[in-house]
Amino acid sequence: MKASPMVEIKNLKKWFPMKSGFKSKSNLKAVDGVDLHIYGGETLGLVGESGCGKTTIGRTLIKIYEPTDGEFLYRGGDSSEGGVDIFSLSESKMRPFRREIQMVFQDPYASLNPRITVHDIISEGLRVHSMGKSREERKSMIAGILEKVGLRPEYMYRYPHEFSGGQRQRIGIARSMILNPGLVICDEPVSALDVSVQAQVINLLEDLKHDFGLTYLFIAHDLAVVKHICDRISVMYLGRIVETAETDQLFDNPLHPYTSGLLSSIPVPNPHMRKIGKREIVKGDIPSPVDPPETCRFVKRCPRAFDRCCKESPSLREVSDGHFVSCFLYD
Amino acid sequence: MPKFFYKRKLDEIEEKARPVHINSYRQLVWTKFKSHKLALFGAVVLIGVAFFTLLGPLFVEVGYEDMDFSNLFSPPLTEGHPFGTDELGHDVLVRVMYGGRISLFVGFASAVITTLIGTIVGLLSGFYGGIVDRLLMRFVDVMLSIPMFPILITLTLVFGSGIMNIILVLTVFGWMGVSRLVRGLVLSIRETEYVMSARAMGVRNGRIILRHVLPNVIPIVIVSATLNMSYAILAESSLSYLGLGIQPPMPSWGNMLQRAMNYILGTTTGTNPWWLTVFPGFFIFITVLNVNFLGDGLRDALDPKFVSES
Amino acid sequence: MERILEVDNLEISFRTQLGKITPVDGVSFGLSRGETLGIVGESGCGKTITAFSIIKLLPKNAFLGDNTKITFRGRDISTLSSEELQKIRGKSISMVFQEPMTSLNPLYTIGWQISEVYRLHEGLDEDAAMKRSIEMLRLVGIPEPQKRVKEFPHQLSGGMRQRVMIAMALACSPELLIADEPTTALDVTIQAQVLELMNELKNKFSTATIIITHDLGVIAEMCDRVLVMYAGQIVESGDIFDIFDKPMHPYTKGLINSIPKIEISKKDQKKLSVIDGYVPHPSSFPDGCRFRPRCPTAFEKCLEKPPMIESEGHHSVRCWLFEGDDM
Repeated sequence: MKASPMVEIKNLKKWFPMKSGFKSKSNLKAVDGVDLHIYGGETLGLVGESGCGKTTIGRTLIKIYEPTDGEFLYRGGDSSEGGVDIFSLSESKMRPFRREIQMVFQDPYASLNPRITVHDIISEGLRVHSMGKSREERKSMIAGILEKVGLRPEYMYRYPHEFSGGQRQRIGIARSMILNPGLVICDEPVSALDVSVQAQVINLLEDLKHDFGLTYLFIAHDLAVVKHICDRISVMYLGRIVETAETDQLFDNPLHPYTSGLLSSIPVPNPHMRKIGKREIVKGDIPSPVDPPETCRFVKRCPRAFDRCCKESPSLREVSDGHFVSCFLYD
Repeated sequence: MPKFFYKRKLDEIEEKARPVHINSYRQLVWTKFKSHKLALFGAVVLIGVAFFTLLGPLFVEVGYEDMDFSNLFSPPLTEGHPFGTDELGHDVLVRVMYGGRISLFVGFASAVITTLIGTIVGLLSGFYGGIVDRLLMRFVDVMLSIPMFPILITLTLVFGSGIMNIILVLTVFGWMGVSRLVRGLVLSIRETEYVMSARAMGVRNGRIILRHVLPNVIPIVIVSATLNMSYAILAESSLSYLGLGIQPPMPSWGNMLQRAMNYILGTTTGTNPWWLTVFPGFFIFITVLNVNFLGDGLRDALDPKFVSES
Repeated sequence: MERILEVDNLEISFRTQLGKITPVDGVSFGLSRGETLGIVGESGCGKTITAFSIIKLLPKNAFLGDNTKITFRGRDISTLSSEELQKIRGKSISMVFQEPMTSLNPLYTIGWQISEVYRLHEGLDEDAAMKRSIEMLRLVGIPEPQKRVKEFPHQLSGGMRQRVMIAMALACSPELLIADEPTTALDVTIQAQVLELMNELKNKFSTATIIITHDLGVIAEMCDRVLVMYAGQIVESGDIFDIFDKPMHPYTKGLINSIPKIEISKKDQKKLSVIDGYVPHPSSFPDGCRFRPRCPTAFEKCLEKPPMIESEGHHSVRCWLFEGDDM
């Protein structure tokens, strides 16, 4: 697996300009210099709290948002080998990659157009990418994928509102998977679902990954889910990656003070492992991402901050094999 | 006996778990519309008014210009004139029927056209945003700040005042509200995950607008069309009342009222021909009222929030 | 321990367009002073309306069953006048909701809103009420409370707003605190802060608390006793350790097994076990045992309504599998 990564994201930035009256222009730096790499066939987890920029990364990668800066090298980044910098492509050159890179959305209610049938929802991508020669062939493809995601093919002429949240999420997954993608960006795919349904969808995503040989970027805030499904995990804080490591490595030996605080904060569903009154609390609130100072982003909440943290901004460096951290403690 | 024997198949569970058994969106809308008694009442009354004005004249031999000189200012229920006659011996019932055709036509036509224009402008403005949005919305502001009546007076002086001119003026000055409404809706639909999903898959803008955005604004558009219709009927009445709308001898509910104004304090013979105002006024009133009832019911029935499970 | 709340045979029905539906049916439980009770279940199981009904906060089209009896400190809630209820709400029983932004009035400063509670329920004058408010805000860990009282809800972060809600809820030292998904809208680090705070305050005031949540982690951290609800009924109730260590009802087992185990390392994780099917809607609860269509161990008897069967140590379960066990 330690071959060259399938996806390499370098120095990704996405700033949203903000109008602020007569003041000089300020920027909401949702993503501010992110480096990520994803190996073919793995699941990379991207975790962080609200406002850390994880959803923005997902949307920028499929160019729903225009990136402010950075490179997104897909399959090597050298066009002679079939790889390419996605961000440098025009919309027409981008088209084949709009099939290759798919997204599964968070909200099973908002992600399906309520006015068209399941058949039409799923067939749209097929038509755009000229897959399936005839209407009949597309229909049988749709029936196949519905069965694959655990829905009855007869349901294809129903409307989204006739389905429960879990079923809708399956439809959303079918819509992406029918295009035979290489990389699937899952943006909080289970966080809106009930506990018992969550497990069904997690298992489905794992099965599909195995059967179709997919690579996942799994964006989530629920660390238990991420631990279960991901091979490696990147932790984000305020627009930057603070730590990247293999799953067990990250959970057993978190290096960044934010990561260890985050892990300690999770309530464990086991009354024998109660941490209440004993846990390492991350104090304070998440600061605003509007024009953040050029220091370590975590400095105000960090229990181990020292002088240097308030003066410069640390960069992500590999401290041991495959374990990256962005913190001066390990410099 | 195996314990699993009574475990139902997954399919059956799903059937059970589905909150409400509905076959289609249309059916649901109809169910909800039916339960809205006032809207149902409104629809029935409007159909009644439409039949009355469209088919009514077929059953009487008198035209709206025919005068009965033996009956001037006859009160209602006079022989042959159930709604009475006016100062020239025109039959009020006949004129109310013909006038209704004009008023309803003006109302319907301008509602349809304003809604079309407004929807197109709103869709383009909301979906594309940026410079397109700014230009279109500033144009809307400009249109909204032009006073309608002075322009109308000028236009009628120049071109005369036919039905088509009335409709033209009502549409030119009537589409802005719809466009703002649609734009606002499109702005929020544009950010939904299903539109994002379509964009992420490479669906072209034109198709996104037609397939994903338009169907979701149509319910609101229909509702605003009904409101526009009642507005147009009232506007035609006001214009005609000011003598700027439909010109006699062609009747409209508005100009019937206008002519009745002359006798509001009674005629030279001392009678007070109240029927000249009451009948056209009553029809304007029930038409506008019931169009609004209908619009209310449609708004509730088409509201997609009720479609979801909760 | 002193029993302060007794809910007996709670039944809540709604008049809807589709006829009468009964989302809560035959729920009974009690609560003692200083105890923390967790109500856990998935969306639509009736956990929130159950809690709301305790202070008679119900939608207009909802009504309680004839055999329902709710007793708070020995007084039957249904006999109280609306003024008496108003007095109880906010003073003796108070609530914390999921989204504090919608429960705080955006037009008034937070200081004004907390001190209102004191003015209303304790008849304090403005200055004294404000003083008490500042003390309360300090107690819930809001930095510089003298400054914060002059701020409006939108100027605070989500975690701070939830602290303000808790300050308001605890202002008059209530005997019962009902927290409905108190940390669901919060981020993990902020959730930890709020849970920590709730725990501290509970120990300090020995308030009886009901925590309603779908998060088994929060339940495990906070509660002494748990009610597991499914489709409008309690399917299992018992001591926190009993529920997690030896769950009896197939639904409880399924629920516990379907959450990913964060305490187990990645390489030892197994495929999640799932509960087939979906949560039923109150308009179509199955006959007999309501979990039967999804239950892996259902048998003939499950077509009849199962009663609540008590096993040892106040551990009860609504399942025919345990008929005749330890009765």
